[in-house]
Amino acid sequence: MFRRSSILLVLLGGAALASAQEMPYFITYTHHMEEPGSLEIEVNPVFGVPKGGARHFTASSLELEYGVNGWWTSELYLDGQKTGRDSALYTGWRFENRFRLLMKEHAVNPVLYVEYEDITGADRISKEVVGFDTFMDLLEPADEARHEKKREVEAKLILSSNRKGWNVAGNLIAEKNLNGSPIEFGYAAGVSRPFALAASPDPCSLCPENFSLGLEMYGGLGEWRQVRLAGTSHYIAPAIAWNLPNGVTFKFSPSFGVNSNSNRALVRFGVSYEIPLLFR
Amino acid sequence: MNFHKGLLLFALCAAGCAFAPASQPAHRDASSEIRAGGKLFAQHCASCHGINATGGKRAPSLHTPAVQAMPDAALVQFLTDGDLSKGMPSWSRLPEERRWQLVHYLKSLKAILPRDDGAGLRDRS
Repeated sequence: MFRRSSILLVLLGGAALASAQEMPYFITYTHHMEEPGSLEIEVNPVFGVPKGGARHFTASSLELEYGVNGWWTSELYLDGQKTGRDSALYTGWRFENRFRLLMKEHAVNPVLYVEYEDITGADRISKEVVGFDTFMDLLEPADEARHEKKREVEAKLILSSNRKGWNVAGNLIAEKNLNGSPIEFGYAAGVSRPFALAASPDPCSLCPENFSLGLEMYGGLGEWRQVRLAGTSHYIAPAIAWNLPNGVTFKFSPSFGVNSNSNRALVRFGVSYEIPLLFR
Repeated sequence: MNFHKGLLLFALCAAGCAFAPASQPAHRDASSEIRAGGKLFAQHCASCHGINATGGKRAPSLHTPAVQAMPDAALVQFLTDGDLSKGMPSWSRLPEERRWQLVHYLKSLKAILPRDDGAGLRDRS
């Protein structure tokens, strides 16, 4: 353990200065890719306030995001969770790739996202809401839900635009459980802006340019041959990001359920650090 | 809050974005802009282009006449687009104001011919 910690410290300490200027979003993807050769390490805890008698939970994912090149970013997620006083569970992994489809900046920039996930029914990260996901999915005790295997393929069409300092992004999601379930659909959309557009001349951590504020909305759109809003759940989530000049970013976003099928709240935190030029 | 109210709130924020007045460039003196650009360069660019922008293993020097002779607007556009197939990332994630500050900084660098021994840099300091 000590050795692993030491290696991590050396990596972090030896890394050159890099500031990623992260967006505040947790759910919505934009067309901004990881810089080529850079590795971003991110921890995203989620505190869940469910309803219907389900117990509060804390889930977390460790994300390793690597810029393969200027138009291709890969990311590995390792998920875990703890519900109430139950013991902590490892709930699976996900591997995604994002491909920027146009090589120059346009009014709307499309990105194709492809993911494979091997998780259990106890996974509580809720990185997306699809199909007819509702608060009732969380009623099953984690100790039982962990035996349900979910091997899923997910595709997203990411559309993103920058205008006058604002970013507007929308994601259309299609997810297919390989056990034969129908394709489920979902969406995520976000809008964000830094507090200040120009940088100040002096080094600073608390100046407005380092903060971004955003708003996300995401939810399910039904499934194959049943595309509809009835029976789906939706969330709205203000979000804030604080980008420190040393490459560390803190993010915070409380998601609030907006209809009767949603959970009450999912409170998300994020800490990330970018190591530039790894493996190059 | 129901779904329609949530959607309305989101739509209002998105519309606010679309109809926001054009951002005005900050009225700062040139040296402030150059210092701000230098700070941004250290944060975002120095890991590839070198701390003095003299180039590194992965990216060229920015003191070359080719860069220094490029019109400012073209440099801003290049930062916006990047050159994704050659490893230069797009910096459209930075607001346009910051890309201009980066260009002000780059144009403040003294041009050095490719075979220069760095004397130009020393002159600058």
